[in-house]
Amino acid sequence: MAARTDGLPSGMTLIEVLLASALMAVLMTVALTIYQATYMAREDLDVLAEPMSIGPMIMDSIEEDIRNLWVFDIKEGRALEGVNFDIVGVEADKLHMIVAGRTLTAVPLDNQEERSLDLAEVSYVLRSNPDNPDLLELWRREDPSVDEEWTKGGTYALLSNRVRSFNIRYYTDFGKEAEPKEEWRSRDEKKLPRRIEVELVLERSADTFREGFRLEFQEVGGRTIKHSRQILLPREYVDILGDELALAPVIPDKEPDKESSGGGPLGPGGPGQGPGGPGGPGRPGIPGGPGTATKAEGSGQRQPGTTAPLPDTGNRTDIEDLLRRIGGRAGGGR
Amino acid sequence: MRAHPTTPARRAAGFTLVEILAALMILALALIPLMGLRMGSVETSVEARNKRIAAGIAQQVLSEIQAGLHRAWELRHERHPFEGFNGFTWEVLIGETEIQNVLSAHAEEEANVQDSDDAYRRLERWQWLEDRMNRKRASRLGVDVDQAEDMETEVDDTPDEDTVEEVAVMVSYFSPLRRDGQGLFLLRGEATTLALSGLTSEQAKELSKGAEDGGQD
Repeated sequence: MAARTDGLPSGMTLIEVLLASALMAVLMTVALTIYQATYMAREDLDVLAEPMSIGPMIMDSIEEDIRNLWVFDIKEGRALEGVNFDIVGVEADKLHMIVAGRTLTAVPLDNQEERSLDLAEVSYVLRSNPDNPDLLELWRREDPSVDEEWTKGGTYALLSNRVRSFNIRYYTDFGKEAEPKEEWRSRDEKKLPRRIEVELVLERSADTFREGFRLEFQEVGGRTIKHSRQILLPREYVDILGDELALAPVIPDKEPDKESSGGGPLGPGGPGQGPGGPGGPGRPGIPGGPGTATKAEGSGQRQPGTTAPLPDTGNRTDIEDLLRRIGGRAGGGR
Repeated sequence: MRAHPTTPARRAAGFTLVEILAALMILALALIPLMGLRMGSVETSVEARNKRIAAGIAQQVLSEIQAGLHRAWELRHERHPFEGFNGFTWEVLIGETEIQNVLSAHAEEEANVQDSDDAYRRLERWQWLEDRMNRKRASRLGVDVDQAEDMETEVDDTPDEDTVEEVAVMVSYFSPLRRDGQGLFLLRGEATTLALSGLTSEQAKELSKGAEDGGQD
């Protein structure tokens, strides 16, 4: 700074400048500390949330789909197809199935509306991550038009792009020593597995995992986190795909014989008050047969002509007796 | 500001060093609680994370028990670490009575620690449930409540797929928000006795056959 000359506007003394910069430094320190604290808090919260964010959600999604497996009136036993597959030596199994339940993708209708359907082909498939050759991407495919090519088409949704491995095993029994199968084609097996084991290994992003990351609270999990889930299928499902079985109500080929008043406990027979038609669908008393024939028809899945084997219900007459006594109608309309 | 103060009016125009330091002190005092706020938010999210992890562990372990991957009967009354997650342990409870007992014991402890109306209400509710359970069990066994307490629940030693038992998995985790630092997550479900035995159905058949043969000898 130039020396002060009398009569001219003066500058600041050295002391003033030093004082000003000292104050500035103090203020800057305070501001930076606050900034850093905020930043660290954000990072800490990220680290805290990461290990359990996406994994359980993916497992839930798979479990829900398997639980909603559509097994009634399936053409050629196409219900579940698990393919053992690997990408560059890493387990990347594929799973295809037909799932009942509201679809995520909507289908456009003629009148410009969209609606989700009740039946869809669903797959879980992987491919390598284009940005990171060490990792895989897990996708869920959903195709609301169930057709001949039931493992292709539809729309894909990315579930995770940090998958280390995805392995599915199929069991026909309980127990630790049960024999696992790496593949399951219900078309060939004519059966469904008793339980399915899904194992997903995810890698945490580098941002949220550093060796010896400073954290006030304990770090959990490692670089990779393994999620696994056992999904049990109902016992009735094991043989549900057999040729002789059609557990959804089907329209019988012949007019029901009035004398025998066949069908299930509430089956056709007698002059039904129902709206005409071929005497209403029979209702076999096997568990899990909701009235969904129309659904199956809509998707081209029905096997015409298969009549359900009826369990010999010993108390059938009792029920008819009862109905007659209370003035009800035994059969026909619902 | 001039370095040479001339008149009192001029002196009043600027801050003195002491004034500025005092202002900074006040600012600092105001900022300190903000740091505490951050600490609080980290604690809350640690709690949330740990609870979520505990739920995930409970779900996985319960599904494993239902699939028969553990010899569940032998694992009771013991805390088991969960691989990959330090500080998380799980316990198996089998049977309605046992689950109920553990829950009400926990509620009692909670009421003692927290000493709040809420905790006492919960405790009362559990005790009522436990009492109800005991009465139900006693009437099923056809004895009065005191006698029923002494009777062990009979364990069906032939595991099969038709008999179902209540099962619960209780996961304990570190909870920074609680005074005792321990949070509990309980998940209930049902498992067949076959699954609880951890045997395959073949092994179970052999076992029951062996038991029958043994009985005949």
